[in-house]
Amino acid sequence: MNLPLEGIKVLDFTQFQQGPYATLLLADMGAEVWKVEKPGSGDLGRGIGSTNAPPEIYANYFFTFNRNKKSVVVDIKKPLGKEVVYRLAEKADVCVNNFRPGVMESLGFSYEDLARRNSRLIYAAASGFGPKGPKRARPVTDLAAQAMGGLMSITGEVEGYPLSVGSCIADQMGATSLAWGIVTALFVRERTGIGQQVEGSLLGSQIVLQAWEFNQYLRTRELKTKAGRHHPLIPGIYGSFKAKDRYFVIAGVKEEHWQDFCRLLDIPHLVEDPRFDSAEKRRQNQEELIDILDPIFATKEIKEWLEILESLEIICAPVNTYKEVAEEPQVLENEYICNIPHPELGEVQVIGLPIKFSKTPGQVQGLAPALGQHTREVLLQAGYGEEEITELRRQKVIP
Amino acid sequence: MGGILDGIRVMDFTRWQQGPSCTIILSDMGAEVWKIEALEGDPARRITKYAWDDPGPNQGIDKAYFLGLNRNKKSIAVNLKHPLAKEVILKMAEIADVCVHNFRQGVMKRLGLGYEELCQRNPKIIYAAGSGYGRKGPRRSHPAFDLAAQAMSGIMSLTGEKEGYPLHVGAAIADQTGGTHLALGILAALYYRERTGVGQQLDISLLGGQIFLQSWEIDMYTVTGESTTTGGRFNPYTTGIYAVYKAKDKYFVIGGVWPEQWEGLCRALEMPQLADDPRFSTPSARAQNHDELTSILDKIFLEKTADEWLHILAELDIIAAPVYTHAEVVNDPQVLENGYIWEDDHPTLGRIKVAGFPIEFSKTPAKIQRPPPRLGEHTEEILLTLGYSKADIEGFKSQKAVR
Repeated sequence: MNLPLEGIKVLDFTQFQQGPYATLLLADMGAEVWKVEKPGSGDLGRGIGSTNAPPEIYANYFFTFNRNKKSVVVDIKKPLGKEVVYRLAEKADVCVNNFRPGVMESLGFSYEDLARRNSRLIYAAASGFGPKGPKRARPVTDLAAQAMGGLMSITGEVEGYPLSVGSCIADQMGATSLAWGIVTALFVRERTGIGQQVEGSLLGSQIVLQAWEFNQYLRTRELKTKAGRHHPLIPGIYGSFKAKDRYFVIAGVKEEHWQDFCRLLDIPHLVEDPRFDSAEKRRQNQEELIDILDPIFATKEIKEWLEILESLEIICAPVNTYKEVAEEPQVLENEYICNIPHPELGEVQVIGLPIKFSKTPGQVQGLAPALGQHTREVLLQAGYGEEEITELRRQKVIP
Repeated sequence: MGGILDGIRVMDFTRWQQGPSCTIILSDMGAEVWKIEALEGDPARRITKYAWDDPGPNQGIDKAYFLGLNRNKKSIAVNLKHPLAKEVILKMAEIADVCVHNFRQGVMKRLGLGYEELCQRNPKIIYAAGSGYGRKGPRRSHPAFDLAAQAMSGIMSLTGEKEGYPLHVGAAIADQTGGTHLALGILAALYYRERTGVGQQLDISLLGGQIFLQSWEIDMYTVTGESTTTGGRFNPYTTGIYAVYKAKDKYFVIGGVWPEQWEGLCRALEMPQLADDPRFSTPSARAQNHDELTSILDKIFLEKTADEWLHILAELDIIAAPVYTHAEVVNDPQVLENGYIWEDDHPTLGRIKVAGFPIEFSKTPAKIQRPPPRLGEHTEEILLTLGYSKADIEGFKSQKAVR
């Protein structure tokens, strides 16, 4: 066995992003993912974004979230289609969905329905706002979760709209939590033989992303608001600055670095300046200090500033655009972005697995499947014979 | 049955946030986490409101930062450079399942606590490392904090007003994501070991975690070659009705309007004429005339409160939500009913609320079992577990090998 989840079979009903990225993490770690899609449109994520290539395979939203998976098209509203799902559930280790609460039940695929066929099954559900509570059945997207979770209230310019993060971090973090729950439940099952239900949501994951900030609020009951380019909880030299050519960040200047910092910025008089001669005062007089620093940073290019700051072991970094990230040696050497072959586009860069295992590295490979590409193959695996498959086709249960 | 990770022992050298946010996940799920601290303690004990302070007699257990990241753990304080302490640690490795650290590269090796050294005592150990920028590459041994990883990963290039500084997210999301990935990796390695008997090393970084958070957006760049910039109150990737709006009293978001919902929305906004207006009647027309549409919507939304609009939008099944402050989040019934905020009894603070756990397991729920430890609170207990006698322990203490 060369992969952490080798041999594990996942019955995957997920669509869009939160669910598919959870099952992609499982697939990258070696699980065989059977992506069950409806005839016609398939996963609605297939329609989002597009490149010049045929949308059914290359729409890059779908491409991002579905590599390494097998696509099985089944009409799950027909009785024979339901039977297909039950038979797949018998062979599966994990079932995942991100339908709204109640949908799986109404399809006849509740935990009880499937556990009756396979008591060891791990049954995972991803939701927007959690399985309980007054908003449990509301439709949700990433933006709604960023808003409800409080993250937007501390992000943005001081005077201005609360801002969302420009990328779908709620979906991605929701996916990670769900994958973590599934792997944990697999571990429990290996030790005890018990299958169970696992629930993860966008809202819960957003709260965990802010564990410190929430606990700070809960202890002090002081509400922080947006701090623009600075940090709502860490006043001082902690935020973004503009060099002659581009932006960079400084993540704090320690007390023992203050003197050298002033010397290297050619402002030695500030060392003794009573407005700034202690960390506490630099926090109190942050605005004045930043007003002094901004014109200084505008005099040199980022490369020079980073060298100067790094010589003091001050934590700093460039504010990269995606172009710069995709070219950054640090990113490429660690394979956070890696190349995979593509039949028409040649080599394409994709996001790698963020976890590096020494003995069981993941498998970042394969394209997203065409709709229904593996229907027959997976049905054969589930024990269907050729004649039965032909009959399912004739009855339009599968294409 | 009890906790998910009952019986799993974790040697935890982590400090600050990225590492502790990983081991809190393991300890919430029942693992026994031995927080191995230097004699002066995890520097996180010193983080008080804004400042870097003396941790006081409670050694940070009553301060949000340490409290939030270290519940359910046991503290053993040792002088890592003392030969006696080193032997104690190697002895711990003999009965531990997992070792986690977030030191800079080379530190564990220099201490004589590299993977090879621990493997000699216990070949099945899982050895996990969290770093700022990853195990390889030119920045592998640079110091890093949350902010630096947000900057390097590109997430700041998409966040902020259209004209203005790139902004970082107001919360330490790089640390928390890194900690989550580290825990996910450890769990996968434990599962693999359970099936094959083989232990291994694994590593994650803040930078890798931030890139993962942007999978779609970065793939969009690498596949199309088109770079995107900050979108202000709009999402940089959509020109639909997917943005922050201001009601009479406060802000709220709309997370997309499906084509079939457009007519209903126009009626609910009391602007039925917009439904057939050729500037807005199709999704692509609405995208083309996005600015015009926004200025119409902005004016209308000011007429009612956020609650009123959210009620109206919910009737139409349109995705919308309030922009909550932290105070509103922790009092929201949706949050409380799902257990995303936990309540607990704390030795000095009494009944408190803390950020909880995002996953609900039907048979093996995560839970709080003990408050964060004082420095060295469990030194003696852990040494006794390792087979040392009371007299040995007194000897270690008098030689300042442990505290």
